[in-house]
Amino acid sequence: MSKVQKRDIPIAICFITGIIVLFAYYIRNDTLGTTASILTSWNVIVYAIASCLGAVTLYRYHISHIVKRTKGKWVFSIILVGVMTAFILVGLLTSPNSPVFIDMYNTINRPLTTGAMSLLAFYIVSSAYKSLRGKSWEGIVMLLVASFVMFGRIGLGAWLSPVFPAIKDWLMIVASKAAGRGLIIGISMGTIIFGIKTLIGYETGWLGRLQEED
Amino acid sequence: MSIFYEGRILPMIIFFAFAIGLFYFIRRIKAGILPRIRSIPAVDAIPEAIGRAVEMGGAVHYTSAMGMLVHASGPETLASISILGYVASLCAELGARLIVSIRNPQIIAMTTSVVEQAYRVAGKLDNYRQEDIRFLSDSQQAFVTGVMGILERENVAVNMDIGTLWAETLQIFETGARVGALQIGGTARMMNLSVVVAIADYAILGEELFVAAGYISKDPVMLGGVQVQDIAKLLIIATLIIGVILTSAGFDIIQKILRI
Repeated sequence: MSKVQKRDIPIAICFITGIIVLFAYYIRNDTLGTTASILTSWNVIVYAIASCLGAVTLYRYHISHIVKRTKGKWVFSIILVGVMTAFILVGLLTSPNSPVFIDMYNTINRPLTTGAMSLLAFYIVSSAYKSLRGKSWEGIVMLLVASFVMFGRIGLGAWLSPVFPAIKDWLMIVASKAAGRGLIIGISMGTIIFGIKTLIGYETGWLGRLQEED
Repeated sequence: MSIFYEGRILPMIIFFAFAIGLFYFIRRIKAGILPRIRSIPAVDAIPEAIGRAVEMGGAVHYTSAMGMLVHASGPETLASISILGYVASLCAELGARLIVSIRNPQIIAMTTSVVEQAYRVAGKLDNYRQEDIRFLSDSQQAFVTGVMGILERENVAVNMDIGTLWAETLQIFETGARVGALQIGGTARMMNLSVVVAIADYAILGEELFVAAGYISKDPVMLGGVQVQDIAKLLIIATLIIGVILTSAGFDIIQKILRI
């Protein structure tokens, strides 16, 4: 692939679409607004095509494990390929809004994702245990702040003294927000500069490193 | 009726001021006036971490997590992919196995291309493994379950979760900690920054994510961006101080200017 295909064309596409969407945000013009809206809606089409690519890469990866009988993987690969094929076939033969497809989604996908999400509670406890040991000055500050916030949030803290909810509120509204806003300002500056560099083709890390001869 | 939308004139002026500032500082740097940039420990730790993976015979796992190319997470995702290029080139040079987990199908082609290119530039294309660039699922919990499986099964010595991090961060880093992996995290999302700081061994904090590419490459263009960013921050701090003083004195001139 030549440098033009690898670098110049993606940068040109990025610049033209970026400039249109950017100016449509600032300037009141129907043509510009409609064009920006159309370009933004293309994201759905790109996502749909990319999803097909994703399905193909998943099939390729898992079918290779099934064919090779990769130890510890091939059985799971059969399950994944089977379930994915069933969902695709039912979705194509009926419709994503059909009762069969919705029942499949609600009885297979939803319990699994909810179950996986609920594991988060246990991870919060174990990470809190590790983080709040107070072995360093930062750890002690974190432990104290977390203790006051937790104590202020539960009923026992408020029952013992109104000071605990007040301390919690101050930590959340004043201390945490002040630090957070400082970070947000920095992040916003970084995002704008990164956006400008990407738009004008200075930031090319997302295109990969190029050899001199490219 | 103005041709500009109300309340968007000042943001537009700021945007173009940034662009002009960027060009100015790039010219200065190209003329030999180099800025001094503070170190970013998390980025400095990447070569050491990959060296550790090579010594242990383990793999390096990288993910841009929930990264998308649209909305606010677009720049984060692109910044993460830039860092991935650096990680991939180090893995290629040092001989570490690199596994990349992808959540968003839109970045499959970009990620694959960046990693393959890094191996090609390093002259180690034979070591490039297409099957290690894995799209897992665009569903958050299916994706995180897949990542947890990789961390448990693939002898991962270094785990990097850099980009748009959501609730799955905790699950990924906790699993990484359980398998004894050295962990580097980074995000510009406020909600999960605290999780990264609390659990990961090294954290790329907020704006550092966007600076990391420039910090790695030492490219004048990238360093120019860092200088503009710092000057902009100083101006914002000055505006905040002046705004607080004037507002306290009963003048709302700063608020009026900010609403233009």
